[in-house]
Amino acid sequence: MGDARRALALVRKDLLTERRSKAAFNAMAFFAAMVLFIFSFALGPDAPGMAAGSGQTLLQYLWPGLLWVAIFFTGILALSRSFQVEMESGGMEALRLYPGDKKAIYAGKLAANLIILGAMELILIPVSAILYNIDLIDKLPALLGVVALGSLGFAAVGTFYAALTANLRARDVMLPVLLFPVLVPVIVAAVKATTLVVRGDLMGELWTWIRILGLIDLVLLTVCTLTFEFAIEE
Amino acid sequence: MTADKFGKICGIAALVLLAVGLATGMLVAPRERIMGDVYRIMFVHFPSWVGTAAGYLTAFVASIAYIKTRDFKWDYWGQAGAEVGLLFNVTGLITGALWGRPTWGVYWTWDPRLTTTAIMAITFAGYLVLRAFMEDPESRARAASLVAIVGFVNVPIVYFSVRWWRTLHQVQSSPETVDPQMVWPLRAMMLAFLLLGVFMMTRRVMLARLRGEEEMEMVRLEVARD
Amino acid sequence: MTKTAIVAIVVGLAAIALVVFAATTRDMSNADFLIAAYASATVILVIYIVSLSNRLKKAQEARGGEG
Repeated sequence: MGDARRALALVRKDLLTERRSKAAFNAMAFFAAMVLFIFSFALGPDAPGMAAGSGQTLLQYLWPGLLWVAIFFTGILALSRSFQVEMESGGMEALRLYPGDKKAIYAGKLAANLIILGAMELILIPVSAILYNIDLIDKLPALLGVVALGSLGFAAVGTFYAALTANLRARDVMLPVLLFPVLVPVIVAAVKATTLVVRGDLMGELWTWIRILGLIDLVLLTVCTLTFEFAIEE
Repeated sequence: MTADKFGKICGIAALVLLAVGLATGMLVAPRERIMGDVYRIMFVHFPSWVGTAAGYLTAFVASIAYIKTRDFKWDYWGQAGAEVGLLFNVTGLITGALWGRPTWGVYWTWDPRLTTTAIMAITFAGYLVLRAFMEDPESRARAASLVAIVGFVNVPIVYFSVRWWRTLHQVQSSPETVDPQMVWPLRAMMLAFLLLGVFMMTRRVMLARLRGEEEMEMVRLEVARD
Repeated sequence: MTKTAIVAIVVGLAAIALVVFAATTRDMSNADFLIAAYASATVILVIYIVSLSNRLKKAQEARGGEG
């Protein structure tokens, strides 16, 4: 019980700092908008899709993949921010001295990162759907479920590596270098599931992919929870 | 210096086996019926993966041992395993691409095994880059160990996720019909590469230990000066 | 150059020579790919061993010089 309360206190602290400064969120929102624009310039707003895309533009056809690329690239900003803040103000010392299980710190940081990530996604998904003309309304519940699972996997590994690279001079380079190889299974499963949600699930594969994604999340979450206490040691 | 001697013996044994394996593989083993002679790349390709597995497995086990014991010896083994594993990983990828082109018509395909080995290479290259960026020996050893552990655990997950992802599109094609007369050169070469890997790892550990002791002395001098 | 490095270079050259000899005299199919695969793997391994043993020797000498 005590650990849960400690984790919650950490979440509240992180969100309060974020609400006061809005440093990470503003940067992320701007970056996400840029990514969406870059996609439409790079892929052409009117270019036709190749396969299975009758009457679709390339952007509409590729949207599931583009969405996850945007989420991952934007999310990196939030992750590197979450421990950098602690480093700047000497908060890392305080975190290490925090009583109780170190897993509470991981849970708290993970939850705070997930909330910030979720807020960004709640903007990113509708805006990209509007920009690229994609009709999502009736698919929204399934889509949100898939996005939540994919984000959980991303944040689970991301929080771990952000803690590990926090005191590096080259952390802005090292975080993506270390993080993205580990995220390959997450992006494979998340994009697959999102595609099935958006394009329709003719062969009944969606549930399989959601379970695969959940399983990947579970394994990564377990490994990172067990090793996190070593990642924030002095 | 037992590790030194052991490595030396492994190195010499590897040389003998390499000579035997390569000579029989090139001159004695018959031509393969479907692929022709290009299958002989297998005598360097499969052994490369034996070396890769030995290297990464060493890195993984040593990393766990380091986290448990905080003995720098394990950090040296972890570094040696990752470096030697990556080396064989690269030769495996190159020989595989050169084998794939004449048999499949492409150098590269997103087959689960190919994708997994590429991700492995990136993961452990990241491990070595991380080491290069960190100066404090203790936090470097700790961070690197964690990267090796998480990266290694991730390997089977990558493999299965890519397999489920790809099998919906294409059937895995991989020629694995091995004639008995081809088996012995292959076994000799696999053992040779394993021993070669052990030889290189023992040298790498010796080098890492010398560097590590040097580093420790520098740290001690700095502390003494303060 | 250390003894190990010299052995590695000699063995590497011999290995490539053997593959080239076998591929050309026995008229092997796809000989170019075969030779390229063996040559690249050999070169990578030899370069690593040479560099490793030279670095090791240098480090050992530096340590020996101090003590």
